[in-house]
Amino acid sequence: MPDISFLDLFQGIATLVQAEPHLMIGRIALMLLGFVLMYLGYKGVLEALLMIPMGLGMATVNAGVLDFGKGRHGTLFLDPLATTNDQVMTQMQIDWLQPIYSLTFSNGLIACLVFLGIGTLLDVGFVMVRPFRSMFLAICAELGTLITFPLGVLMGLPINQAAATATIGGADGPMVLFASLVLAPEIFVPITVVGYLYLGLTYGGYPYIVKALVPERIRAIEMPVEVVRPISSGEKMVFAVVSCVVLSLLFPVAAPLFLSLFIGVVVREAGLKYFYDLFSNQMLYGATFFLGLVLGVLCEASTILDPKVLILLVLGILALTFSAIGGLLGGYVLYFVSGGKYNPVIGIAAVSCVPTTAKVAQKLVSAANPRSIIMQHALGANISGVITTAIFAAVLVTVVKAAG
Amino acid sequence: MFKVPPDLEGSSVPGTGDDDRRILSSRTCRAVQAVGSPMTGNTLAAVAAMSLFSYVLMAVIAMTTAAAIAALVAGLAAVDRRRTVAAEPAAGTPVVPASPAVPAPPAASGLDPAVVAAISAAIQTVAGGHRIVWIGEAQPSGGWVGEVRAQHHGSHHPHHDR
Repeated sequence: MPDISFLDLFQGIATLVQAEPHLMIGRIALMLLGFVLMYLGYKGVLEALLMIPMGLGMATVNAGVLDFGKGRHGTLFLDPLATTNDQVMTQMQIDWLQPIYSLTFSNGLIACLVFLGIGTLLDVGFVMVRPFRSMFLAICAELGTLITFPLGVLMGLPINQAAATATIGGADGPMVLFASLVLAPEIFVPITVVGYLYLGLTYGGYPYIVKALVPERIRAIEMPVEVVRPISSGEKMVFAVVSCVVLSLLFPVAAPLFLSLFIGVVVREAGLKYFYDLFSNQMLYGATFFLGLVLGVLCEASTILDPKVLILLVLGILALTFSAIGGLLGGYVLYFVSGGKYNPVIGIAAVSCVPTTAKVAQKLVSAANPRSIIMQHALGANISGVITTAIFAAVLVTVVKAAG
Repeated sequence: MFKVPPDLEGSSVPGTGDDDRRILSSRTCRAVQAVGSPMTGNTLAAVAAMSLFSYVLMAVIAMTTAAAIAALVAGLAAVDRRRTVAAEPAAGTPVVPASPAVPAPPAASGLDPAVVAAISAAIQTVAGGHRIVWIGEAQPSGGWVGEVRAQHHGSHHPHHDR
């Protein structure tokens, strides 16, 4: 029988007890947080598609830390700090998720794949029927980004990191991922993790904001019946093609995201069934799964425990709260302009996060008045939210890069 | 246009020579980028102005997009209307006397007339005074779209599928 100690046998426990106190507490806390995320995902409070793989990934990576010798601790999942070509190639042959991270996260491919899938789910006809109202609400719902950017600088973040963090206010996961990669790759991991954590919270948290700001009597307003000309597939395609090219012309830095989003729309409207099936099912859900899993795995204590995370947590929640308030204020403006005929709850749907916020809006309105159907208005605002978030992120990236 | 506070003004963006693109001098940005550096009211004001400038620019582009969408929809509607009018008989064309009764189009061929009457009555009751032009088997093509959308919208309750 070899002379082997208990801690040599069970390295996960050994690295836990050998770690510095703050790392040990961090690992245990993150394991518990992983369980909580999984539970809340399972119960439907948080976005299950993201939270279940993310929660399990987070708990497992913090449990599975092993000793690589010479006092070096690490995991066999991935190494986000591998930067040189040699390091990346070496890690790709060791860490099983390193290929996914290096080949789809670092270059923004995963964000584009998710956007492509989202594009196939978007019916731009909702925006085309009421473009001004939808866009107005979406502009109001960018309030969080507007306020959080200077707040981040006030809290001590460098300008590029503050701008990247502020994009959480747009409530669009791929956009947060993209902006942080371009603007602040050094804190890309915590920004993206915090961003996605909070985006998962919108489904559970936004109803409280809406209930606090919109009385039930107003939530129950039924939208007047409108006679609108049906928008044909051809018209939707013309819109998608023109928007894609013009926005790319204005902001080449976000052109990959514009192309991904609008090619999804075009595939849907052109009736390319096989592509549609591929993008809206396998690709969207495959990308979402690996996004959740890799984000969870990135939450290893030694990577994520950065003093800045606390600032990001505060800024993230502020950004999303201000955006929700901005959207609802926009809704109230339309409510007063229309003489009390417009349901201001639709404003919350302008906070992008397709289609979660639109679902939240309809759910709240239905609870107040089962006969009130606002879904088509909410989806219009929702899709406009994606467009304005992309524009705002592109403007921010361009302005901050020009300044730096 | 975005204006820089006088004490923060620096050189223009190299190569542009355009005052409007004068955003922040690199000196100022480096000062802002230094974590923990003392935050002066001026640098914060500059960043707030940068944020506001970006917001206003985004709003202008978004509303221009909305205007373009409205113009596109109106233009395509006009083309559609013109096409419809062209398809109708020109005014002043002599009216052709009604031809003898022709058999109804095979809208509901293969169905029992009683079933057609019952379906028509039911639709009329629900949908109102619209003209029913065709009764037949539902096209399956839209099903997969609805199915995927329902699947996506129901993603918050995965265990309810069981």
